[in-house]
Amino acid sequence: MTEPVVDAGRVLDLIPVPNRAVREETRAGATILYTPIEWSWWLRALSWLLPVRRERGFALDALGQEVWRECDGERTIEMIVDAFASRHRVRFHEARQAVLQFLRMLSERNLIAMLLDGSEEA
Amino acid sequence: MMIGEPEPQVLAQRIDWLGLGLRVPTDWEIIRHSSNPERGALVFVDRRHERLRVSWTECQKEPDLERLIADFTKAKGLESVGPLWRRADGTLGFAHRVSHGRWATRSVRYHPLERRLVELELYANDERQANELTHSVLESFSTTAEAFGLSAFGLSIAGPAGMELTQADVRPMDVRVELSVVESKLARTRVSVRKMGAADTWFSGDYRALLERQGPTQYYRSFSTTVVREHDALSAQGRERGPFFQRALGQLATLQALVWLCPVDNAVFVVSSSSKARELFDLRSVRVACCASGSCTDEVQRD
Repeated sequence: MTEPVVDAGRVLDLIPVPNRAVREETRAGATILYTPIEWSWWLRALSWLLPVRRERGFALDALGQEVWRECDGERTIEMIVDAFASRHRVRFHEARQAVLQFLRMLSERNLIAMLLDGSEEA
Repeated sequence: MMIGEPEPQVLAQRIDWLGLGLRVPTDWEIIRHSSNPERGALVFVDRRHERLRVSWTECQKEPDLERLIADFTKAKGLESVGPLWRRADGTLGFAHRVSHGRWATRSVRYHPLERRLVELELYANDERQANELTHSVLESFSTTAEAFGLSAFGLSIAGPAGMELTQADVRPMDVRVELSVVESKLARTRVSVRKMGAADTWFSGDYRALLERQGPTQYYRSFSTTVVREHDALSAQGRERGPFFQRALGQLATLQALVWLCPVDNAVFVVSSSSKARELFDLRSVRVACCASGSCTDEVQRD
């Protein structure tokens, strides 16, 4: 299967949509995101004998929480970056690098999906 | 404004880099840079596209600019090429169509005093816009300055004559430029200017702890509070860490640092120097603008 290619200029038009299966928990001011783990047959068998974890957790720092909250399935990356840049008084390109790096990490961990024009998955 | 009409470009951002000065729109950013004065380039982008490439090459003799352009058009096999124009300052340029229906201008000029050939490649949506913007940028173009000046990446630094840029490390919300000044035949002072943004998310207000984290080889021992541009600052002095015999022989560099938080820029600035010269380098001779970068470069830091 080939990876969908998005024009670099259109990356800002992508809309990060949170994974509905993600469970959010706040502990001592830190947000932890839990995604369910898909068990393989041997893990399922092992779960009869041993306690096997069902979820994988990802802790977010203050900046991560800000960006995560803005991934509401409506805002584009450009809007999120703009808001981040004005909130922290940094240049747009600095904010873009930081936000994109974080969104890539979220995407790699299946916490979000990227949509183009609200329909097509990128 | 009519649909499709290009937005008027306000060249409100001043860029000074290795003796080249120009103005560009505020939303253009440098994404690639070179700190080699002999040969290099600065590449600017707007939010979505590459917009400008300024490249320079050291050239002992003035090249034939017309031939350079002819060779370029021939090598690239350009088809849609606009008329060649020459400005009063000697700049020669032309516009040509590039991919996706966009236009680019390419202009070249030789600066005999600096012995540098400077090329500008600017991209726009149509030929007229490309030409107009190129002329506006060229209008703002300047070279050489007696004193050192650097404006880029949200940093604006003015320094004494003879100061040189040696390295720039640009990361999101953390820009560090390394400069050097020749103090004597044997001694060279290295100056580092660092701007760390989004300070509200990570900076606790402890300047001393921040300085101690600057590097394992740095050892600051005397601290005093001071004021920089109405911001509370910390001034520190120390020396490089090293074995006793090197210290006894005076081979370890003396360190100075000035650190302050600018709440307007939401950034922490660290200006530091490292020198083996006998006399202390005057750190106040390096003027770093803060409070909406670029607006107060003429002010002098005061103790």
